[in-house]
Amino acid sequence: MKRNAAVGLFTKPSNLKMNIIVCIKQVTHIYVQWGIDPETNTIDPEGLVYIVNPYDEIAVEEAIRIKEKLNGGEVTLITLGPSRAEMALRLCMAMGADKAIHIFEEAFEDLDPWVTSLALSKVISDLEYDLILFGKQAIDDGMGQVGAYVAESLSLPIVSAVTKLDFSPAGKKTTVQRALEKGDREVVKCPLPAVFTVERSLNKPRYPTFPARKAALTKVIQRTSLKSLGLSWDKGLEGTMIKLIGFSPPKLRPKKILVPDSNLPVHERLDFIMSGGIVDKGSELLEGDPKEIASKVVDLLVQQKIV
Amino acid sequence: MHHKVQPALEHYLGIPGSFITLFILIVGLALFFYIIYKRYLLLKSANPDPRFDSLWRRFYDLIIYGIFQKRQPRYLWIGILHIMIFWGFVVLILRSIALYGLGLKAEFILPFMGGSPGEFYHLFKDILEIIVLFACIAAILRRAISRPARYEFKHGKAHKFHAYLVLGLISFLMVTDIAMDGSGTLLGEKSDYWLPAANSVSYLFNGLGPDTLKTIYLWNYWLHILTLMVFLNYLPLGKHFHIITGIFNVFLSKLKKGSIKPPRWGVENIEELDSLGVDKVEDFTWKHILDFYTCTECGRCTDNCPANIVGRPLSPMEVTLKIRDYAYESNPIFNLKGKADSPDQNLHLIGNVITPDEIWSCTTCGACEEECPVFIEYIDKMVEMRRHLVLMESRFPPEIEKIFRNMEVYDDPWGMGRALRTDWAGDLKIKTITEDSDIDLLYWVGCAGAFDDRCKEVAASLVRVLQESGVTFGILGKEERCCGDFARRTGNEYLFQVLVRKNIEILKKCKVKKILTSCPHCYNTFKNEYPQFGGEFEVIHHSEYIAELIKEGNLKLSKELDKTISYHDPCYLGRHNGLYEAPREILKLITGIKTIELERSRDRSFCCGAGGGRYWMEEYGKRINETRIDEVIEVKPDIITTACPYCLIMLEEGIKAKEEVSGELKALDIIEIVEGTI
Repeated sequence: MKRNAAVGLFTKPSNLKMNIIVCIKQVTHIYVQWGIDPETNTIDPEGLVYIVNPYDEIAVEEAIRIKEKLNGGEVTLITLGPSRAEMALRLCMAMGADKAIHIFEEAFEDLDPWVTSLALSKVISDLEYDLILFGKQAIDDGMGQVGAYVAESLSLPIVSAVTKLDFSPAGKKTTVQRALEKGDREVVKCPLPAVFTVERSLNKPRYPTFPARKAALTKVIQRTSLKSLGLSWDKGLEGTMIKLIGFSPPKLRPKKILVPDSNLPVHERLDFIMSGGIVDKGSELLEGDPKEIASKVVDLLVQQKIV
Repeated sequence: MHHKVQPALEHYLGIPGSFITLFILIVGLALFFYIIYKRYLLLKSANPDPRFDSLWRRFYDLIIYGIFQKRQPRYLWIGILHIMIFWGFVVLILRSIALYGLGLKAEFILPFMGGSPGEFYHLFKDILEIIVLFACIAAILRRAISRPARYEFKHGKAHKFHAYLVLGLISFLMVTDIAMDGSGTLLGEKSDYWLPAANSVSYLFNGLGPDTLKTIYLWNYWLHILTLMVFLNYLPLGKHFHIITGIFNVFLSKLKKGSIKPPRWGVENIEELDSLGVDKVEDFTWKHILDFYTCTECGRCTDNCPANIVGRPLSPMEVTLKIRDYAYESNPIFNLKGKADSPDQNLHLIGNVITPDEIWSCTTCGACEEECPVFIEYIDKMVEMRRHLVLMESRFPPEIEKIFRNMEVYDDPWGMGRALRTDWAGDLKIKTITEDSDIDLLYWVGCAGAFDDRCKEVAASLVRVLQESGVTFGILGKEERCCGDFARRTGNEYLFQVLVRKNIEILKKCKVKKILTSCPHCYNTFKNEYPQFGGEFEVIHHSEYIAELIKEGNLKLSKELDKTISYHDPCYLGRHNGLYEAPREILKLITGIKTIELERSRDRSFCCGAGGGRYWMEEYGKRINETRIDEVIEVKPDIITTACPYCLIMLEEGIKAKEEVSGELKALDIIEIVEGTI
């Protein structure tokens, strides 16, 4: 307490400290589609990698930025998943999250969003928080429901697809910009605590430093399970409202490998491969005095066979 | 030689000459050792660096590069001038000691210097004095008139004054000594030989009275020994510290080229370290500090630096000098200004002294290190500063974050993934080495060979040649990962070590003994860096291996190739590993080929621009590979061949950018030429 008082002398007096909860998911990213065994209908593990859901990474980054800006508060991560999900927690802790809770469940693939959100809500209800962040959706199943269900079970307001966040000085309200279709944006006001699900354009997640990675290795992860949350496996199944009954990958097409134009310079070829073949529309800014520009425009029109 | 005039016996204001000499000696040497002690303190505050291994090799280098100055004549005329001055100095040290002796005690003679050896030495030093004087004047004129561009600074002011001052001081020392001998000759100092310098000067003094001659003699004597002491004390203050440190720097040079130093010598697990990389002067190792002391400002490094040549902001010499200037300023010898005015000792080097742009411009090609006459190291320092930026501050060109993440998640910089790693092999029927297979030779394809379309052709070509020669070999298939070269050289040591440990584990599990690589970067990393982590393998590059196959008769080249071919030396094969001959031998063994060397070749080869992770970074302005292609065009070959996938891509890009040769000049890997002549 003394320390806080001392800090207060030198900095703007602000009691604004936020405890932020970020729920993350380790997703299965299938980068090649052909490795599916038709007999067992499972994916050849060679063709997949486990990564932190990119939207969730953005939520974590935003939480850490808020904490850094306010110079106080705590960021707590929660995930539900098998033991390998610890990797995702460690990575997000390396980014700067303080605590992590791992709801341990090997067979988590069978859970539907409803059960997942029940488990998360149970954990969250025992915590102190001002803000709960989610990624807009997971890139593997793309359901985008969990955030909304958690808000419902905790009776909190929810804003989805958040692209910008601002806090009022007292920290009790936020002004949120969110994405609509076709690049439109709307701005909404929302009291805290609240649940926000974030859009990709909110920020660019950091690349953790070495000391942060090292510190993350020794941070304690609190473990719990569905059972100890009172959601026994059986009950979990009962509580499941939707159930996966089939899975069909897209029809196997001849493997398409992007072949960039070999006449392009190497960095353009790389851009091409990495963008998955999407090429930006080119634009050119004409410079010079009005006369020059006019003649360049005419040249361009002729060149493009428009006139 | 018998001296008629004895400075020790003269009296000045009642003070005997010997007292004055003693005073000059004591004050001069005390000051000198104090300055050296101050310089030593800074050296001592730096990080450890083991440099006392392989002593025989070090003595050998000392003799060849230190005493015989083998690297000096790489710049022929100025190199010869330097050797003249250096040897003059070595010989004249004895003369200087004798002169101080003479000032302390009349009739002083060094041991073994009486009689005919002394007479002969006198002749020898007399001739050398003319040579040194001539060399100094030539060097002054050269600096003043032809003004070589490599002495110029791009940023900040060059220390040109120091060069003139020292050349002037040396000339003055020669002149005073010659004048002393000249007047001494007329005063009756007889020598067995006709002394070219002393006797010529004595003609000038002809007709002067004995008193005048004695005054000339004594004045020159005192000026000489005083100047010598000033010179000695001036050395550690500027670029001429190399006269003292140069020999040590050569002796302590880095013997294992190609390998990057570990983050901290003596610490195996980097997780024990709280801080990695260099951002302060003391973060460097003591040898690196000695490098800073030793820089002679000759600019040969910068003159050969590809980044500098294409106009990037990097000049290796200036990196050294900026850090040295800052280190000297923040560790002053006499703190006259008081603490408040001296620069902050804890200043961050990066951003304040060295810009990130300079640090990221380095291609780690090693041209600077190859050229430096006193073996100053640059690559380790660049990588250490990158380590600080990447690991401590997470600051790097945005292009490479994607590459780091790709290597973390997919184990290759392309981000294609291990599942696609064997696609290049198509229907070549290559065996895969597993835990139980009994194959001795592993072909390590490398990420370029596995994922880049052009390099896939090279990998396939090598496989066909190996199959043609009946060699039994296998690949690791999907168990292969990036060797880590790029991660280490961009400063991401953490990622590098993760990859190395995974690779060593699988290689040991499959009991691999011998690794064949087609990429010099993999070659270098396996050969020079994996042993740091317990991965000892026999590593061979395909150019060596194929040359052997042809020579042993296992591979018959039946076709002729009527083409003019130039070979581009990849840095990581040539300079970093000394492998220059094998590819040239292959070209010689093919009938019909006319080879033509590029102007910059072998240890002076010009980087393609891809090394040190530069392949993955944006290049602004003039491109290194296009500059290289300009050099290729000058010798007009039909084919430019190389033995590195990255060089190949860069050269091809360069050709595409040049309309005048696009379509005519072809870039091929050496193995493709071999395959074409089977």
